[in-house]
Amino acid sequence: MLTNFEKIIEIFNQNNFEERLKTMSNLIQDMSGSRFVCLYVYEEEHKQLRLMYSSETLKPEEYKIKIDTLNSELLSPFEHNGKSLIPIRYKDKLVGLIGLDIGKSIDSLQCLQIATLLKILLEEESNRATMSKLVTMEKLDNEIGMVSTNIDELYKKVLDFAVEVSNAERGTIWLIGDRELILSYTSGISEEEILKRRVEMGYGMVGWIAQNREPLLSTSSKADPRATLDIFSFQVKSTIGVPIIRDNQLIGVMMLMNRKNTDFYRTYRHFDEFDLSLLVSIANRLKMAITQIELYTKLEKENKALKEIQKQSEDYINHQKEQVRLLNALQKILQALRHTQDMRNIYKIVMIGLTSNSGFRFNRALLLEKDEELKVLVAKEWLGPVSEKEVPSAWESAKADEEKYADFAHYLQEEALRVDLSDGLTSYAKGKVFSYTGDYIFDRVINRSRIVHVTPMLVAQRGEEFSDLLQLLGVKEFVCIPLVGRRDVYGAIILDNKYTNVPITDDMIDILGIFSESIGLTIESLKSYAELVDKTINLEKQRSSAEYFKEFLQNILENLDVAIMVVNRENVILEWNKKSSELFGFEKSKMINSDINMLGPEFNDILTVAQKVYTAKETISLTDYNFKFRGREFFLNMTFSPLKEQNVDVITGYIAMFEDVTRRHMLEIELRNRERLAVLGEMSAKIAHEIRNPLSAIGGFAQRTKKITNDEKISKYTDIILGEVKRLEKMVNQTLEFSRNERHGNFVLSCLNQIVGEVVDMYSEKFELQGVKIEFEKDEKNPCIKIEPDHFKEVIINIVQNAFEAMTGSGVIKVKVYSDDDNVYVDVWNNGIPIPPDKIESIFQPFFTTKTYGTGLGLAICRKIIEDEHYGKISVKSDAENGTTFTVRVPKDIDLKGGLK
Amino acid sequence: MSKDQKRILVVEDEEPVRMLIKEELEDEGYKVFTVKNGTEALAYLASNDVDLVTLDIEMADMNGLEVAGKIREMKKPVKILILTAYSHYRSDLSSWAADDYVVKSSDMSEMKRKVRELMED
Repeated sequence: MLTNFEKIIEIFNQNNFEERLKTMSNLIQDMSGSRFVCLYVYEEEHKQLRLMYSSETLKPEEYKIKIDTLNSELLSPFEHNGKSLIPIRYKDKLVGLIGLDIGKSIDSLQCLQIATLLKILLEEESNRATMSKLVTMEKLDNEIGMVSTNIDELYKKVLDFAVEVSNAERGTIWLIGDRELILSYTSGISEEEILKRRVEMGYGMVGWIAQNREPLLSTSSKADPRATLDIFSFQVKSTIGVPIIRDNQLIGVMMLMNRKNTDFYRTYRHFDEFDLSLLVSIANRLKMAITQIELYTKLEKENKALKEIQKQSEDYINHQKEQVRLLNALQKILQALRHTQDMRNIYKIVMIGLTSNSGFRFNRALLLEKDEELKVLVAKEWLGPVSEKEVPSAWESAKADEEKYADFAHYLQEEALRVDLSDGLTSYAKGKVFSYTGDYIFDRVINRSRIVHVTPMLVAQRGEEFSDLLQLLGVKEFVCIPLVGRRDVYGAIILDNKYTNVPITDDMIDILGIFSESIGLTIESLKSYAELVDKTINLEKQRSSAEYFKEFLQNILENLDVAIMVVNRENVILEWNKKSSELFGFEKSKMINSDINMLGPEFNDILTVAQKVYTAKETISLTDYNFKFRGREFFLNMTFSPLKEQNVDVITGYIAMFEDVTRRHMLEIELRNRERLAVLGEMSAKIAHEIRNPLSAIGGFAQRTKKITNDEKISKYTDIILGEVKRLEKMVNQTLEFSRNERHGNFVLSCLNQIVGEVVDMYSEKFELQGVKIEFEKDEKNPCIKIEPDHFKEVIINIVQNAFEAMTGSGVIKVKVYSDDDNVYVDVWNNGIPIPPDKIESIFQPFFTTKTYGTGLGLAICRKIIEDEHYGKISVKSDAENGTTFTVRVPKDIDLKGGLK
Repeated sequence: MSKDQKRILVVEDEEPVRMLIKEELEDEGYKVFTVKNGTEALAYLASNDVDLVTLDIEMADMNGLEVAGKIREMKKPVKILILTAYSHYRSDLSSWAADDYVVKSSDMSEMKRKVRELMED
């Protein structure tokens, strides 16, 4: 038999409330000895007793007993419905009733024991319920933790949880709107049950909570003055509600309505303080969760923003990279262009640059050149794959080629030289022309230097206006860029992405803008370069020719056979050329910047004439001016020209020019003489001829007379006649010979040693008889030249005879033949009476003779033979000291007629 | 007059000279005929034969060389001696139709020698 204590322990060893109550009933059975035992618990809230345990099944109306239906004070046991009911109290408060068989009872101590036990069990149960709720809260935390970032979900979940955990029928969350509360979330409420969705602050319990910012517990809502009862259609019995406040800010209100029964027994049904505290705790968690979510959302948002920024910056960087890449490519293209002068290669480089992988990556590039005259653009070259099919192989090989070069510019140069654009795509476009006046695209491109970006939209709107071009290109998007220089637009390039369909971006258009100008400028500078080269060459020519002329003039001035002096107004010599020094003997260095008057008094007359240019203001000339200076006689042509500043009519000096015409003057005199002589000779010849026949007759008949006479006197007279006739005949013969003007005779190669030697031989014996020795010196080179030997011999004879005749008594005649490269000379020297200086110029003149006999034609004929027939020269030097030398010079090559080789 | 007497035609337009030459040659034993110009000479020779003709170069109507040419055209075996005022050269003769020349002079010996030489050929 267990002791009471042991039984009490056993009660608490039971797992649940019901088992505990049953065990406790067993204890009561033991105590009371009653077969039947039941146990009621007092529910103060409803002033009723609830059946918690019964050893027998009771009628349903016995489950709950309202205490006011009992006629008992419930202070002592009483009988009811055939049972003995014993109230049990703890600290004067009714705890419940024990039902026993009538007549059975327990004592008051036992009652107190049971009351205490029941009270403990009830509290235990309440505590267990609380424990269970606390465990559930943990679940809430977990759940909330699992709630994603969605705040709606959170509100909903928390509300559902609160409803569940609090055993509430219904729950609501009102969120604060614009000075009102909005029913935002509900749990266990159907749409039809909602009467008001928005309430003002202070309206109803919701409004009260929101306004007072305090939790609310209303156990009998019907009677609660804070309730309005017009928000929902269902009946509200009890309510708990809490404000949701975060950071001192009211967000909303959470309310639970009408508590349900639960697993755990408690003596009342409505919400209690515990429920409210639970709700507060839930609200707190909600608040935290919201904060968390908000934080999370914020973080998420920030993260997202961050990611967005990151992406943006990556895009930006990529974009920048691409821009930089394109600018680099442009720079490389320009670099390649700088090394190219050929226009065709320039265009090729541009087009390859625009289409290659390291360049602008356009699929195709079409070059149009401007024809200024026809005002059209002419399609020249088109680069790119011909068809879709060709694309992979074409680009692969192009890329491979490209990769062979480390430097893109280098690749462009080489590729431009290598690639032939005359076939392929070009054949589709070549020669096509597009007017650029009034054309929708090209008018902008060429006349306004704009880049035109043709988009599919533009094609749809205005495509018809440039259908030709569209037909050629076969694309709906392309860009046309002008090649713009400073002075002109040189053409255009059309670019498209026919195969890749990559859209043409605004950034690309911007870069193309730079491209088009740069290329245009390059083309322009190239064209200008060619012009510049021409101009430079011309300039160079001009410059060098200017220098050349300066030098040339200086040279001329120095080498002119004319003495030139430039004298200024102050009579200072500014210029003095070489010939001036030669002519007048003053050194240039001494004369420049000297006074012209230092030339001496002989110049006075000349300088007086020179001064007249200042008044005459024009050139003054004097010809054949006979000027005697330092014992020499000159004949000068003089010119004095005024020196004028360029374009100014001020005479700042004069230019004096002196031409030494002495020799010419002499030659002129000689020529005049010769002319006179020629006339004389002609007359002489006529006279001689007329004389000849009568003379022959006179002589002939005188001869015959002499033959037939024996008379001494007649014979003597006829001899005189015959002598005079002979003398006349000789003169006539020589006169005729001299006046013969045709060059006649038989010119043959003759050796002068021999010809001259024969003459010497002929006379040596005869001369020696008269005491004159003749010596002959041959030329070792034995010159043989073309001469007329008879005539030449006659000349030598004549000179030798003259030499002999110059002798008075004994003497020597020296004859010498010698030669140089061009001439052969014969000198005949004698030491006889010298020829007087005043006669020396005259001895070659006809009819001049120093002899009492002789025709005076001998030397004249010699000169005629040597100078006229052989183009040589005969001259004489004679003085007492050196004797007299006749020199005959004959050119070796007579066919040159005296000219030089 | 012997049968083998040589006949000479003297063509000379100046009477005294013509007379002088005629007498000088006749002294040498030749039969001498004279005419005073080329025309007469050609006319004479057309109907008469001579062994030698002396021709003065300077004549009024016709140059002696021209007359010589025309005489040669007659294909007669006649010698022609040119009398000239100038000295000439052997080489010049090749172009002439004459056989020889002699420079006129009051001394007739040179002429007579040339005539003799030509007659002996």
